[in-house]
Amino acid sequence: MSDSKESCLVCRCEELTEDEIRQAIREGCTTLTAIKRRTRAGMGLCQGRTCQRLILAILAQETGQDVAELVPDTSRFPVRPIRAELVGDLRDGEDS
Amino acid sequence: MNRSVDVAIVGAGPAGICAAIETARRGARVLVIDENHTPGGQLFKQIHKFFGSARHRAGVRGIEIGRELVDSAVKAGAEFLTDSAALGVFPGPRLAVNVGNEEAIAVSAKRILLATGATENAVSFPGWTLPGVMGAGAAQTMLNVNRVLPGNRILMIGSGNVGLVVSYQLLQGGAAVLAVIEAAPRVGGYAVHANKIARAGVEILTSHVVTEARGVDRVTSAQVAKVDDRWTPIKGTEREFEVDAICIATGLNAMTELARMAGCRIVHLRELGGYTPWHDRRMCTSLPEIYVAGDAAGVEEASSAMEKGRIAGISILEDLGFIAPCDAQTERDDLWKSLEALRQGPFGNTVRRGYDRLFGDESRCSSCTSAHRGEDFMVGSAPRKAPGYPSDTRLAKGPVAVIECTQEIPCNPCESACARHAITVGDPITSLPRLDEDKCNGCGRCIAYCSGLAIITIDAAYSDTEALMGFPYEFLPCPNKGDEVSLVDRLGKPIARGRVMRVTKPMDGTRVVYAVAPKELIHDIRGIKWQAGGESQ
Amino acid sequence: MAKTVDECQVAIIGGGIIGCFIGYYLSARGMDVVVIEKADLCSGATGANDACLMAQSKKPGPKLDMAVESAHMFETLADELDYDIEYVRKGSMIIQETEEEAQAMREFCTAQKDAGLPVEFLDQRETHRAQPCLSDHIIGSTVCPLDGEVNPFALLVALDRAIRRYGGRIMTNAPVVGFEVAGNRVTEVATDRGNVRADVVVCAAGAYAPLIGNMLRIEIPIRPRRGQILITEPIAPLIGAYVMSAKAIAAKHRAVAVHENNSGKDDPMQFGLGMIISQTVNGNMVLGVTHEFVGYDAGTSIRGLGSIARYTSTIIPALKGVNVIRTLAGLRPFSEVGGPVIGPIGEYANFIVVTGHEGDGVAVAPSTAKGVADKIASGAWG
Repeated sequence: MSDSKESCLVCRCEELTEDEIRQAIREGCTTLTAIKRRTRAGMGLCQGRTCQRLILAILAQETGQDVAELVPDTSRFPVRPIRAELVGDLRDGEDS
Repeated sequence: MNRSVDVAIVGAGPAGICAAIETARRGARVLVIDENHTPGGQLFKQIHKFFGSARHRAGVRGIEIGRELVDSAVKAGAEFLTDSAALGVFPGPRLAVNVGNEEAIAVSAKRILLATGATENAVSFPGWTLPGVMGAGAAQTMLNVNRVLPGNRILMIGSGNVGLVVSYQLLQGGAAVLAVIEAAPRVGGYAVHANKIARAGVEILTSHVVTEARGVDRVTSAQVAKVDDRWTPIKGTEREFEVDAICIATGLNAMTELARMAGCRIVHLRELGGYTPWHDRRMCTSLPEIYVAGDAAGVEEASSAMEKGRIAGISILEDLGFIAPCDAQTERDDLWKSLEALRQGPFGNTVRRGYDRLFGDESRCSSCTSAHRGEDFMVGSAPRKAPGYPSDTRLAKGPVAVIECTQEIPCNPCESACARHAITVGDPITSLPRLDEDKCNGCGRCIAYCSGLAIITIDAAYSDTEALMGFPYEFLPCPNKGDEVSLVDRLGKPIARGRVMRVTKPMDGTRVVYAVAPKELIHDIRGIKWQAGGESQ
Repeated sequence: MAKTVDECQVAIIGGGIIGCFIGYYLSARGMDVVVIEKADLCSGATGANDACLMAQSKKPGPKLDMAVESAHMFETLADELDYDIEYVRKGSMIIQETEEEAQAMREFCTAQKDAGLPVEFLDQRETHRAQPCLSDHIIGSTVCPLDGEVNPFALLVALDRAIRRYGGRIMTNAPVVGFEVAGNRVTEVATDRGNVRADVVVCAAGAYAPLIGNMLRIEIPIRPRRGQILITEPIAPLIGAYVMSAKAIAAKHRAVAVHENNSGKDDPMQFGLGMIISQTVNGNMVLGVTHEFVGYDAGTSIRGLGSIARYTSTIIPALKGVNVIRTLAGLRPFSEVGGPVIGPIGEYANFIVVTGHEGDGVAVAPSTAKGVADKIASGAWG
């Protein structure tokens, strides 16, 4: 099945297309984080590892900025998925 | 149980391990944390021989370097925590670590070194999410670690060293690599890597892009088109390739998640791959307790990673009082000289510029030592004037080496290969190898030493009509004495046939195959093609 | 002299749930509105939300009334805004782990029932039948079918579009740096991107309101109170009504002595650990939550995340095997005066503060905002 470039997927985890990303930017999103909140891009399993760079390139293009002027998303624990049970192991203190 | 150490190193790649060796051997309590089962980082899948100098273990295969480094680190007293992902940095500083997926702990450290490496850049085009489309690094892991071919008919996107080397390794694994697609007008990686796969019949299409990947449950074909100077596909130039895998090798970018989480200042430097943690020449980030090294401090390659790791290790030791500041500075200066040597030559221009900008040395002239790396290099061109190419007179006299190495890359194992010192590279190590054709007796020892497989031997005195040519061969199965093989030109096109007269035992995996060739084609024949080994179509 | 880049009737500082709702109601009534946001919409507490709308936690009085009124308003909001805000009404369930909690909830809910809130008491068997995934040790619960959930991001997109449809403007990346005043009126809001002239200024800046107030030398009695949250991968539906612990309510309303929970060392009340477990429309579990005074630090902590994971796993054991993919923290506007701060404040007749809802901002936003919009539009305020 042939897609046009515009409707090409950008965020695989949440299945968002380039069109949807551009739409969010045109509606006022100026940062990756804003795009994420508006579209869910980067909220999936990979937490933006794959799509962040692609979205930044689109954002730079749409706003006329250099990619170097853009800011990446906030990085949060955990950088890889982890079972809740193991998160429950985490405690302060008791170092050896 | 939570842990407390002097130095916590995230990432057991070349940078992390070298830092571990430096710090542990001088008495620091060191813990190296890596999410993989085997330490070594990307080294554990680099089956090709390294470049650089002897100090940088040139000529040794990556996996072997990895093993040696891990042994040294263990001997030095560093502790390894593998199958363990560092998932977060918290004030302390402390790392939250998932240990073997069985327990999570907090590791408190006086200093944290982030040697987390780099991750592959994604490229989007219609169909890029089809199964079978993957990063070249992922394909390399599948191939070299898991021993699984990602496909049998493969298209490679990107002609940087990763794309070229992985293409070669896919060929070694038995897959067909139909083409390497490069959007820029020139090949991005080393000529010797490109020549290796060109000889095997892989088409390298510059100024081309993949416009679409097609398939239902997985990729079954790709459409490629030529682009103009504005990167726009030109109508009418489309070509279809039937593939079952597409590998993407369009660059890497530093993994900065932990650095960002900790609050380190991040800068964007295109030359170093994009977002990079700001750091100084001591490899310290904007936070005094957090250091970076390796590709996480700017994308380069393994040899530089080792030096960056050592510099970080020395600086951390200095912070913690294990060595005096003046001694630290002396060692750092030495390491910086070595780093700079690796960054010589036109291939180092981009990285040097990146670091000049990072360290605020923008006024410093990053001297380009010669013509643009691509100018002299056209895939398939015959470098008759190269200093490693013997004269016609010498060729007529008998066996002699022919070194087709025409780019300034940091590499010199050939120099130490020759017992008669007929090959010189000198200083800087990016200099082109020169052949003293009088000293050279054509013994062929240098063939297997050359990491770029750029050396052959020609004995044009073999007979009136024939020459005996020796070629490096790294495919299986290997032809035997008496077999008839195809003789191919630099672009892999068969132009003659020849009988194999001799096959040497493998020297570290590289054999030399001697085949008889028509004398008039000695300047054109550059490889052999034999049944399943070395075939690409 | 900074450039005046826009002028309007009402300038609203803060692009979160309160500010955007106020902007919406005002612009829908024909008033000219500019919403001024320092970063992007939804980047404050609204964007770090568990998105649970709760009337059940409120004792009878204005807070409960606002929550109930808002719940009714949420029912028709999607149609009104012509956007799927993912509002669902699966109810809320407050679980009890001890007899003391059960007793406290019985008293609490009786008062609510008398005030007209639909609340049901479930015994142990009924509780487990309603939510089979709950741990055996839960002895009972109260449920309120009126309580719902919404997607705050979608909601703000909807409000953003609506405001623009009505001719309002949204300025993002425009941190407020000061004000121009004349007598007892604020005349202009000065931002990094230029000044906005306005007849009335609304401060809906949430936890950051005191910083805005400082610029006018007004003390706004608000403090940031951090809440940390864990978000898991999407899973098949595990719960219906979202689940909250009775501990906080029992402690607040009956001065009940705090107990240790089953998992050992943690004392959930010691550092303000409440508990909430909800499941989004996409299937992600949202596990929370802390209540910490740490200034404006919106980072997460080992202590907070570990405690939440432990406590929620004791309530729903199946959570243990679910992967956490993200954590976050938000700064709620905690009110020092026992309730939201709403109305003109200080010497400026046209500077209206609307904040201090702590964790209930989304739940009471529609009715709160409408009330404020009414007062401004009628001229009662400003």
